[in-house]
Amino acid sequence: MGAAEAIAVEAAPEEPHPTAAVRKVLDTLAWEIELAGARCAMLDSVIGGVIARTPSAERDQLMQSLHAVDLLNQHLHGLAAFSRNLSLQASARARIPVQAALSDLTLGSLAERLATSLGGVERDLPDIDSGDLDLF
Amino acid sequence: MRILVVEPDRAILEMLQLRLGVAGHEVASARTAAAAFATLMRGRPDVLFLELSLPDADGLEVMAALNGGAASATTPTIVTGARFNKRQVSRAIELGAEHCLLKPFGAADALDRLDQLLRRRAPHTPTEASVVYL
Repeated sequence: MGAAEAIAVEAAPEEPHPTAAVRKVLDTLAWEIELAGARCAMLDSVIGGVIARTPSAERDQLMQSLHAVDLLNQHLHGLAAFSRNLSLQASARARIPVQAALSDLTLGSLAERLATSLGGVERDLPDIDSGDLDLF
Repeated sequence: MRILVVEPDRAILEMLQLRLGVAGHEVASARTAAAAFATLMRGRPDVLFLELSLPDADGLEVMAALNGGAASATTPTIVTGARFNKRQVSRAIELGAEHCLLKPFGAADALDRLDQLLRRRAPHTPTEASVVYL
């Protein structure tokens, strides 16, 4: 590499639109969908508990809700598997701009997790010595 | 069953917490090795879900410290990671890991490995480690 070329490389501007590997994006989406599915499973469990304490004459509506949550859970499970599968097949070199999509997210915790996972800096990364921990 | 999940990724951690909780387990969590040690100081879990790559240490160091380097004193452990090399798998098995679960995995895979582990542990018998590539 000649001197001029070396200088040109060093002076290259920062990437104007940060990108992330498509493989990583799909994998991250799969985990988020899995998380949504886990929340759904928790809701399913709660509704199931309520149904058990509800007089049988009043259970119909709750049963319909439980069925809807169950379908949603299956739907999310399928989407997570689909996204994970695509992630495994995606080219390792393919990249996609993510900043604009991240900026449009209005749910803070989701935006934070995605930004972190896709290469951003976690703003509230726990103090390494204490870490986020939930005790028994 | 008391389960400690050590996982730095928030989405994965919360997903495992919820799924294991719904399955009836008592779940504690930590995102760093230091936090894991803080939890372990308060009591030994029945099962450990442990990510290999932690921000402040190698997950296997946590396992070694927990078990005092002896597989005979092991807490049943499922080691998770985006990749495993032969040395890591050997070390994990040496430390008593029962499964090395390769990411990406789904909630169902994690629960399935836990069920396998619990079934094998039910009558306390020596177990054989396994590596599962999904």
